[in-house]
Amino acid sequence: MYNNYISCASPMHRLNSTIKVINFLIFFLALFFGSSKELLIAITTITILFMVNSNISINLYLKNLIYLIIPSLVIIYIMYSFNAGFYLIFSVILKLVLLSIYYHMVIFTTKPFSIGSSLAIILNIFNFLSININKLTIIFTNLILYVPNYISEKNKYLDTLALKGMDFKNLIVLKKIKLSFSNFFIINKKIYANNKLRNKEIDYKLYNITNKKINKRKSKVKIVDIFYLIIHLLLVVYYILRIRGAA
Amino acid sequence: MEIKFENVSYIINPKTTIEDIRFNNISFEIGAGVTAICGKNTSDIAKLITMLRLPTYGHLYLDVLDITCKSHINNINNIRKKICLVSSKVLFIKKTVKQELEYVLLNYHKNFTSMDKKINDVLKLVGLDNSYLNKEIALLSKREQLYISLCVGLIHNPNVIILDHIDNVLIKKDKNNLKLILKKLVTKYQKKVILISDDILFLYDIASNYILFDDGNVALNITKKEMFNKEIFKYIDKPPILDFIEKAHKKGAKIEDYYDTKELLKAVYRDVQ
Repeated sequence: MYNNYISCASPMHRLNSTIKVINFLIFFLALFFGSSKELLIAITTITILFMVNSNISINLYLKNLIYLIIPSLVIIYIMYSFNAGFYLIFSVILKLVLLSIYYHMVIFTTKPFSIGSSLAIILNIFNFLSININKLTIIFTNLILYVPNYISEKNKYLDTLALKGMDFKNLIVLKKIKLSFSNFFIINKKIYANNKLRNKEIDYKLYNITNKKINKRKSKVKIVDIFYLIIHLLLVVYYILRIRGAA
Repeated sequence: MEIKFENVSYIINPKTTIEDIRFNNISFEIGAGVTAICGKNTSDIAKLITMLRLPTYGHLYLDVLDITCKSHINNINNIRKKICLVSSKVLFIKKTVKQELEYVLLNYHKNFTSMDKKINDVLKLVGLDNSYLNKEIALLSKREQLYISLCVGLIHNPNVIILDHIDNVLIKKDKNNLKLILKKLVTKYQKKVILISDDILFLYDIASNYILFDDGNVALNITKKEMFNKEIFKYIDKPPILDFIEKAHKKGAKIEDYYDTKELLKAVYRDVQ
C-alpha cells in the first residue's frame, strides 16, 4: 500500500519529473563514487531536506528500511571479514539507507508513467544511435519500479498463502527462508506477466512524448526545478574538484 | 461462529499525512443466513474477518477470540479454517486444480484421509465434474477460476463463507447458479454466508440481513423485511422491479411487493385476468 505513488500536495510532487529523474541519477552517481565525509554530510542533508519537503510521513520511509536489514548484515559480514575499517562499513551502510530514502522519495512523489516519460525524454539524447528508445525506456521503467511492484505483489501473495492455510508470519525461521526463496520466483513470474500488460500501455503513451509542442505543460521547467538541479550539480562539481585536488 | 464488530476503526497509515480512514467506529454483528454487505471499501471487512489485517482501534470478536490491534494469534489456522474468503482477486498457488485443492486441505488438516472423496464432493457441490481436476488453472476462464476458488474455499469445511465482489466476473446464469449453491449451504449445511457486492439486484432476493456502509460508517443494518423501506434509497439506486411496482400502485393496480421478476409477471397476468 505504501510503496506506490502517494497523491498529496508538496514541493517535491510539483517538481518536474524529468528533473527529478536526472537528480536521482546524479544522486546515485555521487553516492556510488564519493566517500569523503563532507560529501556524505552534504548528501545526508539533501536527503533529509527532500524527505521533509515531500510532505510524506517519515514512518513510511523508515518502514521500507526493514528490507535493508539482511543486505546490510551481509555487507557488514563480508567487509568485516576483509578487515574493513569502521568508517568504511558505516559509510557503505549509510549510502544504502540514503539511496533507499531518495529512491522512495522519487517513487512516492512521481507517477509511474511520469517516470517512464521522463526516461524517454532523457534517453532521446541517444536517438542518433538509431536504437529503439521506447523499448529501452520500458526496460528502465520496469527496473526502477521493480521494488514497489515486488513488495505489492509479495503482499498479495502472502495474503493468498495465509488464506490457504500457510500463514507466513507464524512460520518458524527456517520455513520462512525456504518459502521466501520459492516465493521469489512465483512473484517475479507474476510481475513479468503484469509488466507485459503495462508495457503495451506505456508504449502507446510514449508516442510523440518528446514533442515539446504537445507536451508543453508537462515538460515546463520552473525556477524551483533549476534550483534543485543546481543543488545536485554542486555535488558533482565538488566531487570533480576534490579529485583534481587529490591529483 | 460469532462475528461481532465492536467500535472497530480501520485506518490505513494512521497518524500520517496520508491517513486513510476506511471504517470509523463501526459496531455490528453478523447474523445467521446470508448477510449482504454493500458500500465503499467493504472488501476490507473481509480482510478484517479473515485476520489478514487487524483493526486499528476497537474489538473484533470471532468465536471466543478478541482481536485488537495488538493481538498476536498463535494458532491462527485453527480459527482461519472456520472461515473462507472467495474473491475474484485471489491467486492460485499450484498448477492444477487437484494440486491446489490437496495443498489447501493438507495445510488445514495435516493427516487427512479420503482426500479424493472430499475433493469429488466439493466439485459436485459447486456443479463441476471430475474432468476439471487435472486441468491447468491458468488456462481456465475467469468464471471457471471463480468456481475453483469457491471449491478451494469450501474444501476445508468452513463455517463462514465470505464472497467478495465475485459477481463482477459472473454472467446471469452463473449468478442464479451461485444463489442456488448459497441457499443449499445455508439451509442444508447451516453455513453463515457474507456476500460483499455493490450490485443491489444481485443481493436483494438472496440476503436475509443487509448492512450498508456510507462514508466509513454503518448507515443501515436491516433485515430482509425492512430491506426496501424508503430510507435505503438514499444510498442506492432503486431496483427496476420496485420502481415498476410503485408505478403500478399509483395507477391503482393491486400488486404486492415482489422481489422476483417471474413472480411479478405471474401477478401481472393474474391482475389482467
